[in-house]
Amino acid sequence: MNHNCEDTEALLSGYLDGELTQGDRQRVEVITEDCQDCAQTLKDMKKLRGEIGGIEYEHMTEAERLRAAKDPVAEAGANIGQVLVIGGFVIFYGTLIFFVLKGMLADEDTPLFMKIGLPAIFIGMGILLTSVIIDRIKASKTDPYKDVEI
Amino acid sequence: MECSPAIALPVGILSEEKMNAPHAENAQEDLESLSDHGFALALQLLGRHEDAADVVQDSLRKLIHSGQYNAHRGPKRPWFLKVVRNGALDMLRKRKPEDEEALSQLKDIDPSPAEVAEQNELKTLIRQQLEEMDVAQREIVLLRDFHNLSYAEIAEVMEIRAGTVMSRLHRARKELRQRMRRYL
Repeated sequence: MNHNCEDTEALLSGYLDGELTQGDRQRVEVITEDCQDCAQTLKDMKKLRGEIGGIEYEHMTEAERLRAAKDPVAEAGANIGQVLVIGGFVIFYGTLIFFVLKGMLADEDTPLFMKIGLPAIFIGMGILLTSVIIDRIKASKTDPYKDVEI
Repeated sequence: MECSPAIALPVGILSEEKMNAPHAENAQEDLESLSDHGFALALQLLGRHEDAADVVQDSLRKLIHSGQYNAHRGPKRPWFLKVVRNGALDMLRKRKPEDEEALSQLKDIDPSPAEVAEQNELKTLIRQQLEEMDVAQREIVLLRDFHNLSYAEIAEVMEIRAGTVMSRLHRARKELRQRMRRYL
C-alpha cells in the first residue's frame, strides 16, 4: 500500500491506544503488514509502552499518608485545646502556690527551713514541668513515627 | 501498582459514606488509590520523594477539607491528577536554581554497562531517559502508559484540547524511542 512512513508513524500511537477511527485502524493494519519499518516502529512502541507500565516508583510512607489525611481543623482544635489546658493549669496552680507561699512567708511562726524549702520545691517543680513540656513539644515535631498506629 | 496500607480518613469528611459501611470502604480505597497515583505522578514530575509527598498532601487537604472531594461528580482520578500536576508544576517553577542543578547532576550519573546489566535494564533505562526528557513530553507518556488514562482524561489533566493529545503523545513517544533505539 502506498504510504509515507512518517505520516503513518503519527497514527501508530493512536492505533496502539485504541483511539483511532475504524478506517484509520484498518489502514494502519494494512500498512504494518506490508511495511517492515512501520511494523518495527509499532513493535518498538508497544514494547516501550509495556515496559513503562511496569516501572516501579516509590510509594508514600505510612507517616506521610497519615499526615496527608489529617484534618487541619481537628488538628488546630487539638492544639488549641492543649494550649488552653496547659495554660489554665499553670495559671491555677501558680496562683494557688503564690498565695500559699505569700501567707507562709508572712507568718512569723513558720520555721525557716519551710520558708526556704517549700519555695525551692515549687520553683524546682516549675522548672521540671517546663523542661518536660519543651521536650514533648520538640519530640512531637521531630518524631517520624508519631502518626503510626500500633 | 502495589497496594499500600490503609490511611485514616480525616474526621468530618465523606459523611455520606460514613453512614454506609461498604461505601465507606470504597471511599477509603478510592482515596488510597488516588494518593498512590497522585504521588507517582508528582514523583515523576519532580523527581524528589519529599517534594512529591508535600504536593500530594497539599492537594488532598485542598480538595478534601474544602468539601470539593465530596462535591465532585465524575471520575476522580483525572481530576485529582490535574490538581497534583498543577501543584507539582508550581513547585518546579518555584525551585531554586541550585535544586535544579542537584537534580540534573543526579541524572547525569551514567551507569557502567555492567551496572546496567545488573539493574532491571530496560525499565531502568526507560526511567532514566524519561527523566531526561522535557517535562511536558515525560508527563504525557506517563499519563498514558503508566497511569493508563484515556486521551480525553489526559486532555482534562493537562488542560489541552483532546485533539492535540494524539500528536503530542506521538512526538513524545518518538523522542523516547529515539533515545532508546540502541537498547530495543
